[in-house]
Amino acid sequence: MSTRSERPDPQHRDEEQAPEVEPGVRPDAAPGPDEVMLEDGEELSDPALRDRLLKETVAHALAQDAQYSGPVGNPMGTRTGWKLLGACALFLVAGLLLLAPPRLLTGPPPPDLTPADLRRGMEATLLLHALEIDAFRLESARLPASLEEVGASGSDVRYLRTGNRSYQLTLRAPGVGVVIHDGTDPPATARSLAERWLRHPHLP
Amino acid sequence: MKARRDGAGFLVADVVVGLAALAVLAALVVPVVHRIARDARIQAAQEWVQQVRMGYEEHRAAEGSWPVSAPPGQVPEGLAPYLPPGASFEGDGFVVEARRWRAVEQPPRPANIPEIPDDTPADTVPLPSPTVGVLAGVSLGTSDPALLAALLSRHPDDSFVQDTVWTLVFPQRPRP
Repeated sequence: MSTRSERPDPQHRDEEQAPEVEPGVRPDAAPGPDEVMLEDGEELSDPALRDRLLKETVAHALAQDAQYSGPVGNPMGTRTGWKLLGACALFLVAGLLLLAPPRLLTGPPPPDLTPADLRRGMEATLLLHALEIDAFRLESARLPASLEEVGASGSDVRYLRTGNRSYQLTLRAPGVGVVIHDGTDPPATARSLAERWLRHPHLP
Repeated sequence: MKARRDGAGFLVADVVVGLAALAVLAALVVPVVHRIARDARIQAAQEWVQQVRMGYEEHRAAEGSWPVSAPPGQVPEGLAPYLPPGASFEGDGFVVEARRWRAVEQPPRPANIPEIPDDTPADTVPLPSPTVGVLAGVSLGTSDPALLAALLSRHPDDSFVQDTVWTLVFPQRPRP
Protein backbone atom coordinates (compact mmCIF):
# COMPACT_ATOMS: atom_id res chain seq x y z
CA MET A 1 0.00 0.00 0.00
CA SER A 2 1.31 3.44 -0.84
CA THR A 3 0.34 7.02 -0.03
CA ARG A 4 -0.69 9.27 -2.82
CA SER A 5 -1.63 12.94 -2.94
CA GLU A 6 -4.93 13.93 -4.41
CA ARG A 7 -3.19 16.63 -6.36
CA PRO A 8 -1.56 15.44 -9.50
CA ASP A 9 1.78 17.15 -9.09
CA PRO A 10 4.74 15.79 -11.02
CA GLN A 11 6.77 14.82 -8.00
CA HIS A 12 4.04 12.55 -6.68
CA ARG A 13 3.63 11.15 -10.11
CA ASP A 14 7.29 10.19 -10.09
CA GLU A 15 6.95 8.61 -6.66
CA GLU A 16 3.92 6.75 -7.90
CA GLN A 17 5.99 5.20 -10.58
CA ALA A 18 8.97 4.55 -8.35
CA PRO A 19 9.41 0.79 -7.84
CA GLU A 20 11.28 1.14 -4.52
CA VAL A 21 8.07 1.67 -2.46
CA GLU A 22 7.34 -1.64 -0.83
CA PRO A 23 3.72 -2.70 -0.95
CA GLY A 24 1.91 -3.15 2.38
CA VAL A 25 4.16 -0.75 4.31
CA ARG A 26 2.49 2.41 5.75
CA PRO A 27 4.53 5.55 6.14
CA ASP A 28 4.95 6.98 9.64
CA ALA A 29 3.23 10.26 8.88
CA ALA A 30 -0.57 10.17 9.07
CA PRO A 31 -2.38 11.29 5.97
CA GLY A 32 -3.61 14.85 5.95
CA PRO A 33 -7.18 15.90 5.32
CA ASP A 34 -6.45 16.58 1.70
CA GLU A 35 -4.79 13.24 1.13
CA VAL A 36 -6.49 10.10 0.01
CA MET A 37 -5.57 6.55 0.82
CA LEU A 38 -5.52 4.37 -2.25
CA GLU A 39 -5.97 0.72 -1.96
CA ASP A 40 -3.71 -1.55 -3.88
CA GLY A 41 -4.69 -1.59 -7.48
CA GLU A 42 -6.79 1.52 -7.29
CA GLU A 43 -6.21 4.10 -9.94
CA LEU A 44 -6.91 7.79 -9.85
CA SER A 45 -8.11 7.55 -13.32
CA ASP A 46 -11.19 5.66 -12.15
CA PRO A 47 -14.11 8.08 -12.87
CA ALA A 48 -16.25 6.71 -10.03
CA LEU A 49 -13.44 7.10 -7.55
CA ARG A 50 -12.76 10.61 -8.79
CA ASP A 51 -16.39 11.55 -8.37
CA ARG A 52 -16.44 10.11 -4.85
CA LEU A 53 -13.26 11.92 -3.89
CA LEU A 54 -14.48 15.13 -5.38
CA LYS A 55 -17.75 14.89 -3.51
CA GLU A 56 -15.97 14.13 -0.26
CA THR A 57 -13.59 17.00 -0.79
CA VAL A 58 -16.36 19.43 -1.57
CA ALA A 59 -18.34 18.23 1.41
CA HIS A 60 -15.30 18.63 3.63
CA ALA A 61 -14.68 22.13 2.33
CA LEU A 62 -18.28 23.11 2.88
CA ALA A 63 -18.19 21.73 6.38
CA GLN A 64 -15.01 23.70 7.14
CA ASP A 65 -16.52 26.82 5.65
CA ALA A 66 -19.67 26.42 7.69
CA GLN A 67 -17.63 25.93 10.84
CA TYR A 68 -15.36 28.94 10.51
CA SER A 69 -17.39 31.46 8.56
CA GLY A 70 -20.47 31.51 10.76
CA PRO A 71 -21.16 34.26 13.30
CA VAL A 72 -19.15 33.62 16.39
CA GLY A 73 -19.83 35.27 19.75
CA ASN A 74 -17.21 37.65 21.18
CA PRO A 75 -16.91 36.74 24.86
CA MET A 76 -13.84 38.95 25.26
CA GLY A 77 -15.75 42.00 24.04
CA THR A 78 -18.63 41.27 26.39
CA ARG A 79 -16.33 41.01 29.36
CA THR A 80 -14.62 44.27 28.39
CA GLY A 81 -17.96 46.02 28.33
CA TRP A 82 -18.82 44.77 31.78
CA LYS A 83 -15.42 45.83 33.07
CA LEU A 84 -15.78 49.33 31.67
CA LEU A 85 -19.26 49.57 33.14
CA GLY A 86 -17.95 48.49 36.53
CA ALA A 87 -15.10 50.97 36.26
CA CYS A 88 -17.58 53.77 35.59
CA ALA A 89 -19.56 52.70 38.64
CA LEU A 90 -16.42 52.73 40.78
CA PHE A 91 -15.45 56.17 39.53
CA LEU A 92 -18.95 57.37 40.38
CA VAL A 93 -18.66 55.96 43.90
CA ALA A 94 -15.26 57.58 44.32
CA GLY A 95 -16.64 60.95 43.25
CA LEU A 96 -19.56 60.69 45.63
CA LEU A 97 -17.23 59.75 48.48
CA LEU A 98 -15.02 62.74 47.77
CA LEU A 99 -17.89 65.19 47.42
CA ALA A 100 -19.94 63.96 50.36
CA PRO A 101 -17.86 61.70 52.59
CA PRO A 102 -19.95 59.83 55.14
CA ARG A 103 -19.81 60.66 58.84
CA LEU A 104 -18.10 57.34 59.44
CA LEU A 105 -15.03 58.64 57.60
CA THR A 106 -15.02 62.29 58.61
CA GLY A 107 -15.91 61.81 62.25
CA PRO A 108 -18.11 64.24 64.14
CA PRO A 109 -18.14 67.67 62.54
CA PRO A 110 -16.38 70.45 64.43
CA PRO A 111 -18.62 72.89 66.22
CA ASP A 112 -19.70 75.80 64.10
CA LEU A 113 -19.55 79.43 65.07
CA THR A 114 -23.10 80.59 65.63
CA PRO A 115 -24.32 84.16 65.09
CA ALA A 116 -24.56 84.40 68.87
CA ASP A 117 -20.87 83.52 69.16
CA LEU A 118 -20.01 86.15 66.56
CA ARG A 119 -22.15 88.77 68.29
CA ARG A 120 -20.57 88.00 71.65
CA GLY A 121 -17.15 88.32 70.03
CA MET A 122 -18.06 91.72 68.65
CA GLU A 123 -19.36 92.89 72.03
CA ALA A 124 -16.18 91.65 73.72
CA THR A 125 -14.07 93.49 71.16
CA LEU A 126 -15.99 96.70 71.82
CA LEU A 127 -15.66 96.19 75.56
CA LEU A 128 -11.87 95.96 75.35
CA HIS A 129 -11.82 99.16 73.30
CA ALA A 130 -14.12 100.83 75.83
CA LEU A 131 -11.83 99.81 78.69
CA GLU A 132 -8.92 101.46 76.90
CA ILE A 133 -10.95 104.61 76.33
CA ASP A 134 -12.05 104.74 79.97
CA ALA A 135 -8.45 104.30 81.12
CA PHE A 136 -7.36 107.11 78.82
CA ARG A 137 -10.17 109.28 80.14
CA LEU A 138 -9.17 108.60 83.74
CA GLU A 139 -5.56 109.53 83.05
CA SER A 140 -6.18 112.46 80.71
CA ALA A 141 -9.45 113.81 82.07
CA ARG A 142 -10.90 113.83 78.59
CA LEU A 143 -12.10 111.50 75.90
CA PRO A 144 -9.69 110.60 73.14
CA ALA A 145 -10.15 112.30 69.81
CA SER A 146 -9.76 109.01 67.97
CA LEU A 147 -8.95 105.38 68.58
CA GLU A 148 -5.41 105.97 67.38
CA GLU A 149 -4.89 108.13 70.45
CA VAL A 150 -5.44 105.15 72.71
CA GLY A 151 -3.40 102.81 70.56
CA ALA A 152 -6.38 100.83 69.29
CA SER A 153 -6.07 101.50 65.60
CA GLY A 154 -6.19 98.92 62.88
CA SER A 155 -9.58 97.47 63.68
CA ASP A 156 -13.00 97.88 62.13
CA VAL A 157 -14.33 99.50 65.27
CA ARG A 158 -15.78 102.97 64.73
CA TYR A 159 -15.49 105.51 67.52
CA LEU A 160 -17.93 108.37 67.81
CA ARG A 161 -17.83 111.04 70.47
CA THR A 162 -21.36 112.06 71.31
CA GLY A 163 -20.35 114.62 73.95
CA ASN A 164 -17.56 115.58 76.29
CA ARG A 165 -18.37 112.63 78.51
CA SER A 166 -20.12 110.21 76.20
CA TYR A 167 -19.10 108.13 73.24
CA GLN A 168 -20.27 105.18 71.15
CA LEU A 169 -18.38 102.32 69.61
CA THR A 170 -19.88 100.46 66.67
CA LEU A 171 -18.84 97.35 64.84
CA ARG A 172 -20.48 95.83 61.80
CA ALA A 173 -20.23 92.23 60.60
CA PRO A 174 -22.05 90.31 57.88
CA GLY A 175 -24.69 87.99 59.25
CA VAL A 176 -24.77 89.76 62.59
CA GLY A 177 -25.40 93.38 61.79
CA VAL A 178 -24.27 96.37 63.80
CA VAL A 179 -23.30 96.11 67.46
CA ILE A 180 -23.23 99.32 69.48
CA HIS A 181 -21.42 99.92 72.76
CA ASP A 182 -22.59 103.05 74.52
CA GLY A 183 -19.92 104.38 76.85
CA THR A 184 -22.51 105.65 79.33
CA ASP A 185 -24.66 102.52 79.21
CA PRO A 186 -22.71 99.40 78.31
CA PRO A 187 -24.76 96.39 77.16
CA ALA A 188 -25.40 93.48 79.49
CA THR A 189 -22.91 91.21 77.77
CA ALA A 190 -20.15 93.76 78.24
CA ARG A 191 -21.00 94.11 81.92
CA SER A 192 -20.97 90.35 82.35
CA LEU A 193 -17.59 89.99 80.66
CA ALA A 194 -16.14 92.86 82.68
CA GLU A 195 -17.38 91.25 85.89
CA ARG A 196 -15.63 88.04 84.90
CA TRP A 197 -12.36 89.43 83.62
CA LEU A 198 -11.72 92.35 85.98
CA ARG A 199 -11.15 92.04 89.66
CA HIS A 200 -12.88 95.37 90.42
CA PRO A 201 -14.67 96.46 87.29
CA HIS A 202 -15.61 100.09 86.96
CA LEU A 203 -18.37 100.62 84.46
CA PRO A 204 -20.99 103.36 84.40
CA MET B 1 -12.50 53.01 22.69
CA LYS B 2 -11.23 49.79 21.39
CA ALA B 3 -9.76 47.44 23.92
CA ARG B 4 -6.27 46.31 23.09
CA ARG B 5 -4.00 43.91 24.73
CA ASP B 6 -0.76 45.48 25.83
CA GLY B 7 2.60 43.87 26.32
CA ALA B 8 1.94 42.91 29.94
CA GLY B 9 -1.09 40.91 29.04
CA PHE B 10 -3.70 43.27 30.51
CA LEU B 11 -6.56 44.78 28.64
CA VAL B 12 -7.06 48.50 28.77
CA ALA B 13 -10.34 47.72 30.50
CA ASP B 14 -8.43 45.96 33.25
CA VAL B 15 -6.24 49.01 33.73
CA VAL B 16 -9.31 51.27 33.90
CA VAL B 17 -10.90 49.00 36.49
CA GLY B 18 -7.68 49.13 38.51
CA LEU B 19 -7.61 52.92 38.35
CA ALA B 20 -11.25 53.08 39.43
CA ALA B 21 -10.53 50.82 42.38
CA LEU B 22 -7.60 53.06 43.34
CA ALA B 23 -9.87 56.10 43.07
CA VAL B 24 -12.37 54.53 45.45
CA LEU B 25 -9.57 53.66 47.84
CA ALA B 26 -8.26 57.22 47.70
CA ALA B 27 -11.76 58.58 48.25
CA LEU B 28 -12.00 56.45 51.37
CA VAL B 29 -8.57 57.43 52.67
CA VAL B 30 -8.59 61.17 51.96
CA PRO B 31 -11.40 62.10 54.43
CA VAL B 32 -9.82 59.98 57.14
CA VAL B 33 -6.41 61.59 56.62
CA HIS B 34 -8.05 65.01 56.56
CA ARG B 35 -9.88 64.29 59.80
CA ILE B 36 -6.74 63.00 61.51
CA ALA B 37 -4.77 66.07 60.41
CA ARG B 38 -7.55 68.41 61.56
CA ASP B 39 -7.87 66.71 64.94
CA ALA B 40 -4.10 66.77 65.39
CA ARG B 41 -3.94 70.46 64.52
CA ILE B 42 -6.72 71.31 66.96
CA GLN B 43 -5.19 69.14 69.66
CA ALA B 44 -1.80 70.79 69.18
CA ALA B 45 -3.33 74.27 69.35
CA GLN B 46 -5.25 73.43 72.51
CA GLU B 47 -2.15 72.03 74.17
CA TRP B 48 -0.26 75.14 73.11
CA VAL B 49 -2.92 77.39 74.64
CA GLN B 50 -2.79 75.42 77.85
CA GLN B 51 0.99 75.78 78.06
CA VAL B 52 0.85 79.51 77.35
CA ARG B 53 -1.88 80.01 79.92
CA MET B 54 0.19 78.26 82.56
CA GLY B 55 3.23 80.30 81.52
CA TYR B 56 1.30 83.55 81.84
CA GLU B 57 0.00 82.65 85.29
CA GLU B 58 3.42 81.52 86.48
CA HIS B 59 4.93 84.75 85.16
CA ARG B 60 2.31 86.78 86.98
CA ALA B 61 2.81 84.82 90.20
CA ALA B 62 6.60 85.23 90.02
CA GLU B 63 6.91 88.73 88.58
CA GLY B 64 3.75 90.30 89.93
CA SER B 65 2.53 91.39 86.51
CA TRP B 66 1.39 90.05 83.19
CA PRO B 67 3.90 89.70 80.35
CA VAL B 68 4.19 92.65 78.01
CA SER B 69 2.57 92.68 74.61
CA ALA B 70 4.49 91.59 71.52
CA PRO B 71 4.00 91.59 67.74
CA PRO B 72 2.34 88.54 66.17
CA GLY B 73 4.55 85.49 66.18
CA GLN B 74 6.97 86.80 68.82
CA VAL B 75 7.24 85.50 72.35
CA PRO B 76 6.77 88.39 74.82
CA GLU B 77 9.86 89.52 76.62
CA GLY B 78 10.34 87.71 79.90
CA LEU B 79 7.84 84.96 79.19
CA ALA B 80 10.21 82.42 77.63
CA PRO B 81 11.49 81.04 80.98
CA TYR B 82 7.92 80.15 81.89
CA LEU B 83 7.23 78.29 78.65
CA PRO B 84 8.41 74.84 77.56
CA PRO B 85 11.76 74.88 75.74
CA GLY B 86 11.37 75.82 72.12
CA ALA B 87 7.86 77.13 72.56
CA SER B 88 6.88 79.49 69.76
CA PHE B 89 4.07 81.90 69.09
CA GLU B 90 3.57 80.37 65.67
CA GLY B 91 2.04 76.98 65.09
CA ASP B 92 0.64 74.78 62.38
CA GLY B 93 -1.73 77.12 60.60
CA PHE B 94 -1.91 79.85 63.23
CA VAL B 95 0.04 82.79 64.57
CA VAL B 96 -0.35 84.28 68.02
CA GLU B 97 -0.02 87.81 69.34
CA ALA B 98 0.50 88.67 72.99
CA ARG B 99 -1.95 91.39 74.01
CA ARG B 100 -2.47 93.76 76.92
CA TRP B 101 -5.35 96.08 77.58
CA ARG B 102 -5.68 98.81 80.14
CA ALA B 103 -8.81 98.89 82.23
CA VAL B 104 -10.17 101.12 84.97
CA GLU B 105 -10.59 99.40 88.26
CA GLN B 106 -12.60 100.62 91.14
CA PRO B 107 -11.28 99.21 94.43
CA PRO B 108 -14.06 98.42 96.85
CA ARG B 109 -14.83 100.67 99.71
CA PRO B 110 -13.26 99.44 102.97
CA ALA B 111 -15.55 98.58 105.79
CA ASN B 112 -16.46 101.39 108.13
CA ILE B 113 -14.89 101.62 111.54
CA PRO B 114 -17.12 99.92 114.06
CA GLU B 115 -19.26 102.21 116.12
CA ILE B 116 -18.20 102.70 119.73
CA PRO B 117 -21.06 103.13 122.20
CA ASP B 118 -21.35 106.57 123.74
CA ASP B 119 -18.78 107.90 121.30
CA THR B 120 -19.06 110.21 118.38
CA PRO B 121 -20.13 108.56 115.15
CA ALA B 122 -17.27 107.14 113.12
CA ASP B 123 -16.33 108.83 109.91
CA THR B 124 -17.45 107.16 106.69
CA VAL B 125 -14.50 105.73 104.85
CA PRO B 126 -14.30 107.46 101.49
CA LEU B 127 -14.46 105.53 98.26
CA PRO B 128 -10.93 104.92 96.93
CA SER B 129 -10.03 106.54 93.67
CA PRO B 130 -10.24 104.32 90.60
CA THR B 131 -7.01 103.01 89.19
CA VAL B 132 -5.85 101.71 85.86
CA GLY B 133 -5.14 98.03 85.78
CA VAL B 134 -4.02 95.69 83.06
CA LEU B 135 -5.73 92.83 81.32
CA ALA B 136 -3.64 90.35 79.37
CA GLY B 137 -4.43 87.81 76.75
CA VAL B 138 -3.38 86.19 73.51
CA SER B 139 -4.95 86.50 70.09
CA LEU B 140 -4.65 83.54 67.76
CA GLY B 141 -5.20 84.23 64.09
CA THR B 142 -6.05 81.40 61.74
CA SER B 143 -8.01 80.79 58.57
CA ASP B 144 -9.38 77.53 59.92
CA PRO B 145 -12.92 78.09 61.26
CA ALA B 146 -12.93 74.63 62.80
CA LEU B 147 -9.93 75.61 64.92
CA LEU B 148 -11.62 78.85 65.97
CA ALA B 149 -14.80 77.03 66.95
CA ALA B 150 -12.92 74.30 68.79
CA LEU B 151 -10.92 76.81 70.84
CA LEU B 152 -14.02 78.81 71.63
CA SER B 153 -15.86 75.71 72.80
CA ARG B 154 -12.87 74.79 74.97
CA HIS B 155 -12.73 78.24 76.62
CA PRO B 156 -16.30 79.54 76.40
CA ASP B 157 -16.09 82.09 79.21
CA ASP B 158 -12.70 83.72 78.76
CA SER B 159 -12.40 83.80 75.00
CA PHE B 160 -14.21 85.16 71.98
CA VAL B 161 -13.92 85.09 68.21
CA GLN B 162 -13.80 88.20 66.07
CA ASP B 163 -13.41 87.61 62.32
CA THR B 164 -10.55 85.11 61.99
CA VAL B 165 -9.03 85.81 65.39
CA TRP B 166 -9.66 83.91 68.59
CA THR B 167 -8.76 85.92 71.69
CA LEU B 168 -8.20 84.47 75.12
CA VAL B 169 -8.34 86.90 78.04
CA PHE B 170 -6.62 85.99 81.28
CA PRO B 171 -8.92 87.13 84.06
CA GLN B 172 -7.50 89.26 86.84
CA ARG B 173 -9.35 87.19 89.36
CA PRO B 174 -7.46 84.13 90.54
CA ARG B 175 -8.84 81.00 88.93
CA PRO B 176 -10.82 78.80 91.32
